Amino acid sequence: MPSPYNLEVQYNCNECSVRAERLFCNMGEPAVRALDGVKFTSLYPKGSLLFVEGEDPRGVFILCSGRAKLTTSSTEGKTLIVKIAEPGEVLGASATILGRPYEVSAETIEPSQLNFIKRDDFLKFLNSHLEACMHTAQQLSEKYHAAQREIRSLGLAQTTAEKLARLLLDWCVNDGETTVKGTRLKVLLTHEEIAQMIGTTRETVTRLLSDFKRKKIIDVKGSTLLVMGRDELEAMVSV
Amino acid sequence: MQTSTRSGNVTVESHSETGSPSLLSETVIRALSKLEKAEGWPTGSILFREGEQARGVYIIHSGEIDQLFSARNGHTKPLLVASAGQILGLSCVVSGKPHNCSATARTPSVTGFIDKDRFTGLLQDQPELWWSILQLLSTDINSCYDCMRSLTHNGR
Repeated sequence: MPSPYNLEVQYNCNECSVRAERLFCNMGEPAVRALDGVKFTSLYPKGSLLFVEGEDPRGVFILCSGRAKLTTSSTEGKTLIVKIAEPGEVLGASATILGRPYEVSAETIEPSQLNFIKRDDFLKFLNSHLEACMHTAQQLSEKYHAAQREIRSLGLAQTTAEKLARLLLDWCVNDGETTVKGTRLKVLLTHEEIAQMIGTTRETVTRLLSDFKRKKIIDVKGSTLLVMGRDELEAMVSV
Repeated sequence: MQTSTRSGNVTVESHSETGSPSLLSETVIRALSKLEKAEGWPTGSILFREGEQARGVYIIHSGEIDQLFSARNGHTKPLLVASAGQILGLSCVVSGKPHNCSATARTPSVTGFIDKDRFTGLLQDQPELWWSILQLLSTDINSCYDCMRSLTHNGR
């Protein structure tokens, strides 16, 4: 029987084939067994809201497969995507640890499997498994470094074209597939969401992508974006 | 607490004189104070530079430390500020990654420095400190989100 959303569902962490590649999940058997005992596995379609900025922390979500966008709102109500969470990340950890409202909202951008752990259970799990504490600290450190990279881009880039070029180059490095014509990217974000990643408007993103296309730096076909001019993008970037 | 002052402009005081930094519990302060070496930093002095491997952690006891980010063209901007109770270099020591930014004293500051090996040794001896590490890192992440919100607000 096909699984919902064509996802390869893994209900048992102990049997997960990718566990060793994941920063948080790569723990010894006693901790993984304990984790299995407190988590609830669920599958979510694209566009599911996991938690909302300002909401009291209910617990953490371990992203097993799929991706989610983490967003925050400025005082003016403008939305900023602070991160696209990848498989293996623990979402909502800082709010859950501090016992303060979620600082960001989390929404799936593709069908995803998530393991939810209630706040009390997660805190008990950390308390009884030092390894889990260490792995959570490593994961939080990674998040902090990623947030600092975003701050650098938002704070130092001189133009919006530069911010967009930086974003495309990051995608090339992280998710790009090298082909004879250039680096191929599968873009799951709308122009509006790309705008929210670099702190600009949807209209500006559409105009800049058209400019890049006209200059033969990129080519776009549906959700596939081919970067043909990485050198040209590099030349635009100062951060 | 061992004491070394880099400049006559800064007076290094013991914890009992400065009061407890707000983000650290008394237990953590006691554990850290046994190992830390107090250092005074006059305004503008550099604690560490972007790209350097972390030598250890800096517990800020007083003053404010600018975290400066550099562009390829050499343009540098202070985008985050750390103050008493925060620990600089913590994420780098935990992850083994180099510093993402440079740190310079915005005002005369006093820090307690703990070498990386001694700090990780302390965590092995007193694993209960990991909980405070998680809280501190979570607070640091929240500061970054605050900064991003303000940059978005100002930059559009």
